[in-house]
Amino acid sequence: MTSFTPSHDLPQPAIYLVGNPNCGKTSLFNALTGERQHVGNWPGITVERLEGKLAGDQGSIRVVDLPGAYSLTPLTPEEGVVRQVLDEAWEGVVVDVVDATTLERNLFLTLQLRELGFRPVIALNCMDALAATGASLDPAALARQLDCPVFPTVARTGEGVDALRQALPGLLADRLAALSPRAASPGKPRLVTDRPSPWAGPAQERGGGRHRRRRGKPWPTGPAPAPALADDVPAGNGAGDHGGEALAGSARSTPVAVPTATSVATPAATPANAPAPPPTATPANAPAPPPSDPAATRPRSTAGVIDLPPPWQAALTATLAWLGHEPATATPSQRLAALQALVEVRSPSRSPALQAIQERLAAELARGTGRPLSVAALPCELAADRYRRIGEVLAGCYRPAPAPIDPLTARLDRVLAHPWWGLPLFGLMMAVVFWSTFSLGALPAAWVEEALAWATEAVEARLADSLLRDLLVDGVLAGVGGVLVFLPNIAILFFWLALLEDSGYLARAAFLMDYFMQKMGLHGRAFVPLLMGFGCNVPAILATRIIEHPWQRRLAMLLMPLVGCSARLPVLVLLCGTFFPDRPGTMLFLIYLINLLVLFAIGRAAASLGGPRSTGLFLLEMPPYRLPTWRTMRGFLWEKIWHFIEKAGTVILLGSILIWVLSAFPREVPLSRAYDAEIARLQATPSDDLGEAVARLVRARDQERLAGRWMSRLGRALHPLVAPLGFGWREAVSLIPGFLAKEGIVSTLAVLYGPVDDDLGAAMRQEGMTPLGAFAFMLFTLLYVPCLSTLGVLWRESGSWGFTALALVFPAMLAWIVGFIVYQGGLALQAWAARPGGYDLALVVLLALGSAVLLVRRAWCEVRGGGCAGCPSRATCARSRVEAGGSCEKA
Amino acid sequence: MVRDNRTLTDLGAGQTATIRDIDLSHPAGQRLLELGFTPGTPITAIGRAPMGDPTTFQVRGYRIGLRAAEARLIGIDPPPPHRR
Repeated sequence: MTSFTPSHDLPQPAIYLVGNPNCGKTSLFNALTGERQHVGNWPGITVERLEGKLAGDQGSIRVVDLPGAYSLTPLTPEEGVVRQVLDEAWEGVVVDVVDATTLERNLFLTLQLRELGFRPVIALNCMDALAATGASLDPAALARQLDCPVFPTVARTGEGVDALRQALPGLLADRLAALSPRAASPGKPRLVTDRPSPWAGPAQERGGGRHRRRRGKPWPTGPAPAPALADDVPAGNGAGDHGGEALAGSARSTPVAVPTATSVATPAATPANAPAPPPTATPANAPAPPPSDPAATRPRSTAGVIDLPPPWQAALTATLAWLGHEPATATPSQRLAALQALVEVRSPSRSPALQAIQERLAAELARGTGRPLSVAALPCELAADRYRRIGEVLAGCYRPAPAPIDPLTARLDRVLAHPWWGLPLFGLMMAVVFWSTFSLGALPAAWVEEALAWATEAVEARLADSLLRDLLVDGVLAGVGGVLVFLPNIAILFFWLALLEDSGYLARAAFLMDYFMQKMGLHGRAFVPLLMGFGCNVPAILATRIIEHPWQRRLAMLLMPLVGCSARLPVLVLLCGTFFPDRPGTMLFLIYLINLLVLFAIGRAAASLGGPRSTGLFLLEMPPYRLPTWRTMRGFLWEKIWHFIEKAGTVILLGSILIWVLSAFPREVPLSRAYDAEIARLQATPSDDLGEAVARLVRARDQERLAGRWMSRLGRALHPLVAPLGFGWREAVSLIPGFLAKEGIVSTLAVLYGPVDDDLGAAMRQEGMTPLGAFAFMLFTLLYVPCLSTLGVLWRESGSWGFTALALVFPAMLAWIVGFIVYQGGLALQAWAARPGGYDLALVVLLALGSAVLLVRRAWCEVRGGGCAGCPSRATCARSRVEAGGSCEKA
Repeated sequence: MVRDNRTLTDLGAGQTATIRDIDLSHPAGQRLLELGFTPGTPITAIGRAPMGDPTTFQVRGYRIGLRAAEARLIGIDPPPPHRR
């Protein structure tokens, strides 16, 4: 869009994506920009604004993805983000992403935007899901009703997105043209009606083609209202009408491309199967009643339906004046503030002037309906009126599905969210996840191992025995390779996380786990950040922003580093496989179970230490289940895998080299025996067990050398600290690089125990590591300190050094205590636990105890009868209903 | 007319009722209104979580989980006899 140059200093124009949580904004954002932001079937994935450039437009147009919001009245911080950018968005194009499967609720936000004067471009998303439910919706009619351009899309598959992407530059240019003072004609009277026109006057050049959209990219839909708008709205309040001019302008300049209502309906009629409905209106289906003929496009726009009713409009104007804003030029945020003031009926200290406006409005409304209405009922009235208008909008274009809810979702919920089976099924799913993470990862891991062994041989064959060769083999290949072996396991773990998330199950998991979150004094919403923490702690800490309450957010942030992220997986997989060869998957699951229990215990303790009783607003939307698409999962998986490889190539590589240096110098270490001479003597006299004897000597020599090097001196200095937990000095040392990145533990162990072709686990066993010690080491690793990046995020998000220090020291102490209890307690129980099947028995007893407690409590509720009357959560269910003055009643 | 104090917490799983009023003294009330919990709207309790709280409700074609603390803000009228 080079034809346009803004003539006054605006921030760079942009396209703003708004919409309800989980309506597919980020999917659409990715499709529009070609970026790979994380999406999931879970409300609240995006917590701050994301920016990208519109693909295919020379990268000149910004696209801003905003956090999901149900309403412009902010209740959570991320909804506040949307409100803050309202005025900024006024100077760009707002794309309102509407989930077609929950139209009524999604249109609430649309209506709010319209009331503020916006004329959003509607991306009617999830059209495939809508079609699947048996409902039908006519986007063209919706466009007419809402008086906004409407683009049916399926953001997950990318269907229909091209049409939107191609239309956006034109829409933006036209919007800017409408705002531009050049286009203004100050002589015209302004209409002080529903639409504010703060910066701009009329767009006179509508038909001039100056901001004409590029040829060959016609509007797929939405032109029907445009001519009507162009006719009934005199030039003068064009500022709010971006898109309208665009459509009208295009209609006049390139008539052949203008679709009519008939052609518009074409892509809409086959939303599910049409592969990116060709937006081009061919002459065949566009018998083109000349768009310049106004009569052809009447009946007029039904804009009256979606605007605020006259009494509200009058009251809003009065409130704006009372707030000191010129009603005609008020910005969207000023209008929003005025609307909020108008329905702020609870504060007894509100100004008498405002009260007068409210009373007048209530009286006016009461006269209109013929029933009494108190001022206290105004908020209720406004919401009800919006839904009434939504109903009117939908009446003409929407036929609801025969079933009130997607039958598949209803069926699955009956099982997966069942009060009895829900939790066991969740546990089972988690068990499958961890079992398969271990066992399915074994085969590709073997391939990676082979590749590494081959690389080691190749290096050894090509390089003479030198320091460089040692560095490559013992440092780089052993360290980095030792970590890369776990790539398949990590890929599998993330595959499951992506699957659970994309299918919509996570919301159910949060629902099932909410009771426990409540007990921890945490919001149910904190569950998903916690679960995300199993992938990586850093985004999980960012995700705690969805928790409004500061105290709770701090608690969640403090707990987050205790969540066993995927970087800890290599240690766990290595040790589970080595020390528990019969039951590696079970052990892995057990470790994570203990992890959850520790989290729960800490949260519980923190809650009893005086956290707030109220855990804030809990609204957990249950999105419909859907089949995850490879398209969304692929991007997510690839990003995670790449991140892992990148880390192995940078932090782990540097760490491995450093560890190697520390363990390779000083080069000359005084030895107790003349090993080399003995080896030479052995080799000179042939015997049967020559190889074995030589190997034994070589090993003993290397051990003694290593013992003299810096690393082991450091290790021996640290060893007493962790000796009570059953760790050797190598383990003690490995914990240091683990602070940089948890994978560093394995790479360090690999370097310290020798090159990769040795079995690391076997070497550990040889050096006296016991299964019990390994178990304690795994738990210690899981808990001990947040990694450096996590600590950085903790500091940034909390803004407090004290908190950051606490987040560093507290887990370390906790890990030590847990390790001590497990190891020393385990030693005491060793005789019992070491019997065959002892570990299985322990696991079974633990699981049985846990479920018994749950089942007994649940059964208690049932036996007592009366719903939750005898329920342990009775305290939070108190039936005392506050009959406050603010409640509004149905007449 | 005797005022009925029944709220959403009294709605058993599978039962449908009509929303009568919303307690706006709690900030959640305003949000519930915006989510479509407006007076006169039918609402169905779908099921409770394992420990009896929260509960899933179905309203305006979608499902949402509410804790008892929020469900208590919503007063309901008993379902009309023929609906039961």
